[in-house]
Amino acid sequence: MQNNPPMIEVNSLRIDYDNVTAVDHLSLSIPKGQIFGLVGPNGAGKTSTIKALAGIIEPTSGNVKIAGYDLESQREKALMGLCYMPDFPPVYENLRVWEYLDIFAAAYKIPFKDRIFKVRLWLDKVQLTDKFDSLIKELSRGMRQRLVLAKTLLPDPKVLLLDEPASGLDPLARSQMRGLLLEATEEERTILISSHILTELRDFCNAIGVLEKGRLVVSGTLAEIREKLQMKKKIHVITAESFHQFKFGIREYVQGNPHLHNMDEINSNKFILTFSGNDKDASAILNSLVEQGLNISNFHVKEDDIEDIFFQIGAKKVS
Amino acid sequence: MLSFFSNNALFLVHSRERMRSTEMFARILIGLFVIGIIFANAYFKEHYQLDDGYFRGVSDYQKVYVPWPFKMVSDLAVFQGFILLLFGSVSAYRRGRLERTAGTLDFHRASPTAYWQQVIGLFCGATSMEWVLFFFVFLFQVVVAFFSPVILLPMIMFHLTLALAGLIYQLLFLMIGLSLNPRPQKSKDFIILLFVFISVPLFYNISRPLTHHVTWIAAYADLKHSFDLLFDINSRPIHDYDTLNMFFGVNLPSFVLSFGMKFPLIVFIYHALTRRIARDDKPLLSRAMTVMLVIILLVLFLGSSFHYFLSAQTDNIQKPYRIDVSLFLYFVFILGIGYSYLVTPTLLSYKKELKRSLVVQDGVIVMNTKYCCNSLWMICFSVITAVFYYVIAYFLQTPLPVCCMGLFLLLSYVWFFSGLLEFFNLSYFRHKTILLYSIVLVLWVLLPILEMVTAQFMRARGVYPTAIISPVYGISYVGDGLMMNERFRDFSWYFLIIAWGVAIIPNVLSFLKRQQIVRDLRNEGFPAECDMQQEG
Repeated sequence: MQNNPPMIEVNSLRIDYDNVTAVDHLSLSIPKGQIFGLVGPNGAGKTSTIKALAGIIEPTSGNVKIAGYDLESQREKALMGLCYMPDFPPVYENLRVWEYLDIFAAAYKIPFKDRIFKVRLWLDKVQLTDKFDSLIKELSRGMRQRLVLAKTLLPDPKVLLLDEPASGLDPLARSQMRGLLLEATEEERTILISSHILTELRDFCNAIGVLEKGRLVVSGTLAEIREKLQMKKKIHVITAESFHQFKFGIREYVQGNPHLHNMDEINSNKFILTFSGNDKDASAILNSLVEQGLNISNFHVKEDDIEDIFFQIGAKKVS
Repeated sequence: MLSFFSNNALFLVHSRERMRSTEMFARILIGLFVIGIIFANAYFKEHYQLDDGYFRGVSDYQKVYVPWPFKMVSDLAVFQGFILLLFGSVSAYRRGRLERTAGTLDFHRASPTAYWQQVIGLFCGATSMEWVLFFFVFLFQVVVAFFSPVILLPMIMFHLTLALAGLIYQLLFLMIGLSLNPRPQKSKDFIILLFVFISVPLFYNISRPLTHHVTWIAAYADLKHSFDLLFDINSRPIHDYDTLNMFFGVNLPSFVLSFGMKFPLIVFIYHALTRRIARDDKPLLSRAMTVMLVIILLVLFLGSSFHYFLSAQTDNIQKPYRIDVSLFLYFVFILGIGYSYLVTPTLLSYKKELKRSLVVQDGVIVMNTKYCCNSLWMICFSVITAVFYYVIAYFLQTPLPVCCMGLFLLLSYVWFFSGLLEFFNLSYFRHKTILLYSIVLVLWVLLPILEMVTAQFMRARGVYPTAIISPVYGISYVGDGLMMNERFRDFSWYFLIIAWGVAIIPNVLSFLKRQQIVRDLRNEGFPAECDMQQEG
């Protein structure tokens, strides 16, 4: 733990609005280099949490530490290595594209002589070089989002807070945004990313926290959560011909095998087996099915991803 | 200094947007055009109708009246006033509002830039254009001064005083822009126009050092006075110029007094701006700062009217202090209402304070609530007010019982309002402010009017009980008491009991509401407890 101290530490965070508690007793510890996905439905408290971590809203109680610095008493030091990107990109419409990046480089105390170099570099990375001198009001929504991402990454932050970074974007812009974010994750940054679009998080998160009604229902790495929730894997089997004549035999086999729990028929050529074993057990199951005479064209073991975890928790209605 | 501004994000944003070369060029061109017209008006005016009805040429006019450079400097000074006070205030307001509506302020809040740097950056960037134009016109005036007998020193003093006034107005309007609801609404620029230009003549008519020196009037009065001294001008003199520069009975240089009065206000507005930049939901001033503001404003008021109160020792027939007594009482009342707004917590801030004051004593959760409610702060206000009230009563030689009755009556209005405000803020009615103002309107205006009209019909005389619960009428009774006027004889302790009875009701309600909130929060328990429960 000492070798990898937490970059984001939240202790008993509570955020109240006028007549609603948005976040309730949230405690979180995200070590260096971890990409933490904050998952939850709309209104779960994701944006409030991120805003409190960015120092924008004052929590009712609890404390936040960024890179070991207390956000309330050591605000400037804590925020020096932190950048925040909201879901809706606020921009100065009458500013030029390069000026926008330049002012935020100045806000993060990047020396005057280095700023224009960094601005050009990041405009190139987000493919806005040709818009260098354009007014921001002339940019499309996707371009603005990329510009704000460039502004967020330009100071080379150690901690990134991304609040629904691809919301409101078309599929192409979303794909571009995902590429840029994946690039951002290559360096050893600590990233907290929130989204209610779960496929967005699947590619880069190595840990998640599920928020529901302001409470952190579960958090940890995906493996830890699977273990906590005792989640089972799924074996997807696709046959070249209809498996109807073998159906009875397969069901008997499922009942007799301690690693298999259930069989779901998808169609005449596909069925899913609920499984809780290791690779050896899976290999043994494959052999048994082939021995029964099944003409298998595709057999793969699939672990539950973020989406499955979210739905499983949602189904349990933990709050 | 240069490095500070070149690395200040908010300054860079607003100065870049406002000082684009094309815009700058256009404004300087307009400025030169206006200067040209002013020059032409001062120098080339061929004929002028004098009081005797004859038309004279340029030379006669200039012999009788002020030479043209003086007229030009005066007219340019008016132009500068427009630039700094009107355009500067509008720009500060718009830029503050832009930051709120665009949501960009959140980025700056999340940046490692200190809040004080953000305030300076935003202010300087938002008003950069107006200050550049102000200095541009100033340079023009300096050039005129070198070619004419215009004395540089009064001109520089004028600019310093006007710059201070400009600072106050612009900071104030920046704060308004940052504080208003960010949702789209109609432009409020016209309110700025009204405030800057229509409210000031009212202050001018009051003609007291405080009202004179906190506005822009002082700058122009000083300039006019210095020109009047140089020439035998047949113009309306500024009435009581010397008394306008008196503070605690001492005659001070105008600029010193102007600086002394404006500087504390600038500090307070700056402090409020820093708090507003940091958070949207916090009151503009902390409670401690609000108490300090009240003390400073009362000291400034007392110092400003001191020589009038002092005159009570020698002249008790003409009563030259009667305006000051009324002003003081209304000043305290308005101050009390403003104070109530600043110290009364909203439901959210009250809950936050309670959460922070959670302490464990012998294993039991206790809430240290004494700093959270506004009763303690209202007692503080009452004590401060009482000190100044007794100082004035001492000069006016008012008997102690009368003095006490007046003070308690005056404070009952402030206590009533603060209690009502606290109850509304903490209760279900917090979003129904219209109800709060309706109650105030009925009790303070409509009911007393109704009773007075009825009494007129019935030809009844004396003090009306429902008039006493209204500051609109009650404050005049307090004034009568302080000055020992005949009318106060009709007043009795009975009326005071009515006034305080009305004031106590909302305070009891808010006390009960506070207790309920404390109970609810205590039932919620400690954060640590909840964590343990979760883990368990």
